Amino acid sequence: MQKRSDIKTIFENVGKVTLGLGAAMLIPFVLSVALAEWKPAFDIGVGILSCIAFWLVTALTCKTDSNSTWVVGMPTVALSWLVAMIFGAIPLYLSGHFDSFLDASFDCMSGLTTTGLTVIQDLDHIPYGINLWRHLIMFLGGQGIVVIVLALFVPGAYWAADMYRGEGREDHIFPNIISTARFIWLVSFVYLVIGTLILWITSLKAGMPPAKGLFDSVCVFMAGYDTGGFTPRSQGIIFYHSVWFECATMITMILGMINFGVHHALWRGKKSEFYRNTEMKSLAVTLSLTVFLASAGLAISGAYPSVVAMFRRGFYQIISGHSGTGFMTIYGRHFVSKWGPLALFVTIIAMGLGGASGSTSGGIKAIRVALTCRSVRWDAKKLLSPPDAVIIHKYHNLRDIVVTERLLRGVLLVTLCYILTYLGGALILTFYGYPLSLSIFESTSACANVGLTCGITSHTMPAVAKVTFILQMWMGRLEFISVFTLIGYLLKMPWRD
Amino acid sequence: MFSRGCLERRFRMNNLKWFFHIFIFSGALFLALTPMTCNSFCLAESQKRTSGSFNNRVRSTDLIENSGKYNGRIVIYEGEVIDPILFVGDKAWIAVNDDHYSKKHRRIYEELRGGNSGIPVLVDRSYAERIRFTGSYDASGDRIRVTGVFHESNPGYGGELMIEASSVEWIKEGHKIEKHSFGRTPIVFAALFILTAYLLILWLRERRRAERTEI
Repeated sequence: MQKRSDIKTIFENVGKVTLGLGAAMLIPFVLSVALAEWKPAFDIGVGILSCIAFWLVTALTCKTDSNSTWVVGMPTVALSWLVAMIFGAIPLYLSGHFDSFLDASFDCMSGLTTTGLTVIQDLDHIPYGINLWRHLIMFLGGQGIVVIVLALFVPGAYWAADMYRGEGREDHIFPNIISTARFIWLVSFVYLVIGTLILWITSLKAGMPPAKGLFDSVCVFMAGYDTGGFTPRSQGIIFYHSVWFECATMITMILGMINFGVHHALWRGKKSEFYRNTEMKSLAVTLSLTVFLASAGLAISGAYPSVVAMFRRGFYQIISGHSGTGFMTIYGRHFVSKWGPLALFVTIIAMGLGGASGSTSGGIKAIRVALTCRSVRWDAKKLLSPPDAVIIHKYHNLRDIVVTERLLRGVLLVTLCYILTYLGGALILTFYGYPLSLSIFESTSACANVGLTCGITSHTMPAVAKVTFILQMWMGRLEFISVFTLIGYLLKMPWRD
Repeated sequence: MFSRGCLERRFRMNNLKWFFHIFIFSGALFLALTPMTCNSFCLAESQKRTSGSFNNRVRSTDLIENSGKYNGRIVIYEGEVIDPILFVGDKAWIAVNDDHYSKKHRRIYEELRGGNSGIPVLVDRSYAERIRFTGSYDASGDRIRVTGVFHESNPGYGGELMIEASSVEWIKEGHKIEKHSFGRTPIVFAALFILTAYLLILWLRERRRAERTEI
């Protein structure tokens, strides 16, 4: 049975995360006031007040002494994300661009998990404040909302390491988790400034007016670097009609799909980490293979008329899918009508594999792909060796790591969970009559937090499909373990006795 | 025999070579495959162009779903100009939406009718400069009718799906949205404000009491 003090600690921390979310809402609130968008200012204001009220309720009712056990970390993370979805959806719902609160929650979870699937309606007439909020939740979710709270509100929490792992991050840049979280935020802000500047220059070159170009650049960078996929315009990246803008977003996506530990190594001038890292090698192989196969598929279907067109429409989508971003330079329906079965299938594979661990991209992750493939070779080697031979296997990911049975079991378990969730989501969609290939495409896109769509995701989708996608996005982003822990925790609640 | 440093250097170099060999190999294959595509595509397009063009009123959904059918043909397309216009030299890119909201500006809390749907249109700068209102939060954009060639994937513009307009007609001028409906949001805001203030007072009292106990 769980201790009451643990349950109180969980809610106390969830309250702090909600307060953090409310504090973040101040940015779009200020923008709305500055632009005299009074209606959205009220919408966001309601969101802020709701977050503060919830925090106060938890602070008054869940005050604990610090004698909680270590088990609180993972359930806190899993629950925080669900509660953040509800509170983050308030301004979106009040904006009047969603049919129901479920739709607003869908977009909010999609933003927080950096997926990028959207059911918003009439995006082209949305106020700036609400549009900024859509992108800001992506930045917050990408960096890890619980990590933010760790960095700001919970100095020295001893379950911090669990929370950090619970958000799908495993890279310990510094021995102290809080220092790591703060470093991640520092680097992200530096990248935000530089990236926004580059995108702004390219958007000006594409003909955007300066102020609107700056707004779009901030939004697109936040979505790209956090491998999100929302865009401020309904036409997505197509809207900008610029090869330079597309190249800049491509670099942003690649930066976003790399392990933060590798960023740190490069930041400190250790270039060798880039080439030695097992995950980087795995990414190079899977990216090259998927690009090659997708090119072959597009060549067979005769989709594009030139090398440049192939690069800007085909190559871009594969990078976008593999990095888990979901920016699109084509219309979603063209995956079905123009790309042909091979290119469509390869895109599904690229989405399912995902980027690096310790990055914001979703999916199985490069390190798990590498270890799963290598384990086959290692098993074969073991069979060919004498029975008493002791073989030690290592891989390099920021440091040399010895592969143990336990580690491999964990890798295979998470990989299996992803594959089953991809297929489970597809099964539910086929139940509603969607074609199998498109169902697998959309389900993989949701669970791997990608955001590419072939047209299934829309406000007309059945409510069950929306809930399925919300759960897939949530579980995929948190890499299942913290969700399983929360479920296990609920099963052992005091009221069951 | 190699020294340890030399071996390490060789190891790093091998890693580096291996890394770039994959990229170069896939890049070469990518480039080798695309000309095959280009030939078949260009042939198909030239055949369509020579088979004669016809005037046709189209919707964006038709153009997206059946892009091959309309490729290279002259089409007539109408909708709302969306903010902002991208001026590039003597041309300009305009996003023209033909969704439900393009016909009638939706007030907040009025019924929603789906996502936005539109097509990029390339027009002469002179046409674009005549557009007074572009659709955004505080404006309903000019409604225009465009006549031009539809390209499923224009090689001159990096494979863009687009309409290259030869003429633009104005159907209806847009307008500023002066007033936005607030609905019940201010009432909810006020109620929440009072509740939050009450909770804050309780929390401050609790905190003060706890501090006193500690002392």
